[in-house]
Amino acid sequence: MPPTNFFQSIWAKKIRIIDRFYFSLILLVLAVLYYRSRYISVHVPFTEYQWEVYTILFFLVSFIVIDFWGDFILKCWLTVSGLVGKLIFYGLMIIVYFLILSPVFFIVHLFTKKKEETSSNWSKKMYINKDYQNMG
Amino acid sequence: MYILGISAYYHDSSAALLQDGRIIVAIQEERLSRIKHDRSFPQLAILKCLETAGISIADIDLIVYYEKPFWKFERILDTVTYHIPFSFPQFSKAIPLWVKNRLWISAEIKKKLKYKGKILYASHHESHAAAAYYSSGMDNAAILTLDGVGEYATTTLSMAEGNKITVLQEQNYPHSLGLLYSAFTQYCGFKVNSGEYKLMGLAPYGKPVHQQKIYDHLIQSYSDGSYRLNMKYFNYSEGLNMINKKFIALFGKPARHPESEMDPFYIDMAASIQIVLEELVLKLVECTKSLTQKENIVFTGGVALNCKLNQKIVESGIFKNQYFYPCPGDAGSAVGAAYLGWHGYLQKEKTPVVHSPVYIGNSFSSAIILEQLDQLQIPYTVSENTTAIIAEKLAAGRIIGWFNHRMEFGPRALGNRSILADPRKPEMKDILNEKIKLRESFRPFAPIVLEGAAHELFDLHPANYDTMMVTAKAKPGALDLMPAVIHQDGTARIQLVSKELNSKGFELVEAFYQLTGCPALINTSFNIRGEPIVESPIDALRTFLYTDIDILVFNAEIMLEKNADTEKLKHIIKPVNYAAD
Repeated sequence: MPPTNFFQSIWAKKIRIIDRFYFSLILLVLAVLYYRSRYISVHVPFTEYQWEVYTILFFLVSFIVIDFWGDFILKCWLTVSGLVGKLIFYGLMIIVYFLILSPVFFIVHLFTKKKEETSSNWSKKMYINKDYQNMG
Repeated sequence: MYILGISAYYHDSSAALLQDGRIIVAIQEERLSRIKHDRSFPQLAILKCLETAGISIADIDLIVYYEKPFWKFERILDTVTYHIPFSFPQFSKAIPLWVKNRLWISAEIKKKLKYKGKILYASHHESHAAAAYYSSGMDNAAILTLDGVGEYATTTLSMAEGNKITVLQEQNYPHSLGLLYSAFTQYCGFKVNSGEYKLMGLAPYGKPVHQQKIYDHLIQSYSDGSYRLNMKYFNYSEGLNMINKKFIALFGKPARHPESEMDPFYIDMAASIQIVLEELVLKLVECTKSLTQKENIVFTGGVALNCKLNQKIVESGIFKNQYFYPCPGDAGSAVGAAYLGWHGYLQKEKTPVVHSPVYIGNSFSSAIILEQLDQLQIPYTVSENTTAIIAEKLAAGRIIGWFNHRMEFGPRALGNRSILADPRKPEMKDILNEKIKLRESFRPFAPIVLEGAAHELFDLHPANYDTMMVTAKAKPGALDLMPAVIHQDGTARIQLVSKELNSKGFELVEAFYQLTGCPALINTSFNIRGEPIVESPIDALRTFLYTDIDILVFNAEIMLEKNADTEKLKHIIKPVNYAAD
């Protein structure tokens, strides 16, 4: 998919209330993990960091209830995570192609006998469908 | 029992619905999505098929996909690994597409359609062959299937008897006559998978001066009909282009830039590859004959859209009867897949073909059209005698947009979504190309001809001339009578019309004949360049408004003339910019 299509498709996407709810839930879990490791495990009294918690909760709730704000944040998230996903995917493809497939098949082709020229090019191996329930 | 056939993800996605052995509706996705050659999952087409049949997805007993996804993926991996380390562009293009949805087609079908039943998989060339054979009405036939590539197969010779199709010979990728023709399509500056018919239309203007060079360097033909491409000159199995530098060096000129002026060199190139294709396919037809000893042949696959080639096949007389399936490309494979569910998987006997395989799209009743026109406050006239009125208008040089009941399935408009004009006026070809279709000036137009009068005007052989799949040599009188539809080489891509096949179309041509003595009309698809053929009344109105079409007729009874009132509609119906094809 060309980059313009990628961005266009994300920004044209219709975000449902359930999507915003799930997104806020993920952030809430991350926030809980953060507070647990930073304050609760070292027994800092809640009163000392409560404003942080309330601010975070305020934003999370606003993602859910405010249409524009929630959509905007979610689309930003989808764009960034999509780009990161694409980078990882293409990185993996480069690794698979150049580090795994290339050396293996280079060796395979070295030892593969070249097909001899004959007076016909009809295939000896025909792909006949023997089972309709099979994908191939 | 209902069987749904699906073709998707290569080019021209489509869906077809079969009820108890008969195809009752088939629609291409592009007509609904308005994206030419739309290759995406044909969700809109499937829903429209169900709506037309008045059923829901729960009523579907079987879904048959038109090819074997794993075979195709295996072929892609085979090719990519063979060309390591030069095939990374192809690898990086193909893998995301396959990983994203093509490998999970079964899950995709179930999820998108909320379908819980059984899904079957035919093979690509089997689907092509089945669509053509089961639509042909023949009881036995040899089948020649030629396309770019399916899973592995590029050329298949099969034999059909009763409800059974048996593959006899197969030639595999990368050796493909379809891809050879596509390579020259790209070289001559046209789009692969859509510009091949332009190359064919260009060929009669040139001389086949490069024919020998093609035989010497690009292709080796064997006495048994098989052939081998010299892959040194092609790039399609490793890169993203059809041809490479060696190909360009061989002919001494770079590939023509799309939309640039047409150099005679490329016109000769078109003529050369056309004649090579014709010679090679005729050899294959001979081989098919000796292998099957049948009297009938069915020709299908994307290459069968080459109507000049089809003319050579019928003129060769190798087979007694010829049938050219009107939707031989991948869209037609949805029909084949559905048929294979019935005859191949369920082993049901053949049912007689009772209607044309063309007029099986969706339709709009006059009541619905009138309601839409009333909503738009457009002035119109309703008359039961429209054909006589329209015939007079045509004779007076007016151009008609003709929208009539069930949409055609396949690439040709055969009188139900057509632009019609008077073929007696030589200048009509240029008027239509420049002002209506907005396309290249060399492109020819085809006639719709009364079946009864065709023998006097054209040299006909035993074949189906009712679907514009075969060109026919014009007899001496035809050029004088209808110069706008006779191509440079003295042929025309005719569509014979009869009362049984298309009653309203027949009535109109008959009325024009009575009035003028000319038993034919120019019949071109109701669209502009880059636009899929119109599907709905609104699509038709849009094309009507933004071209020089004079009159728009719905269901042969509702008529709109272009005037100041229709011009006002431009505020409501906006134009769509289509990319050139």
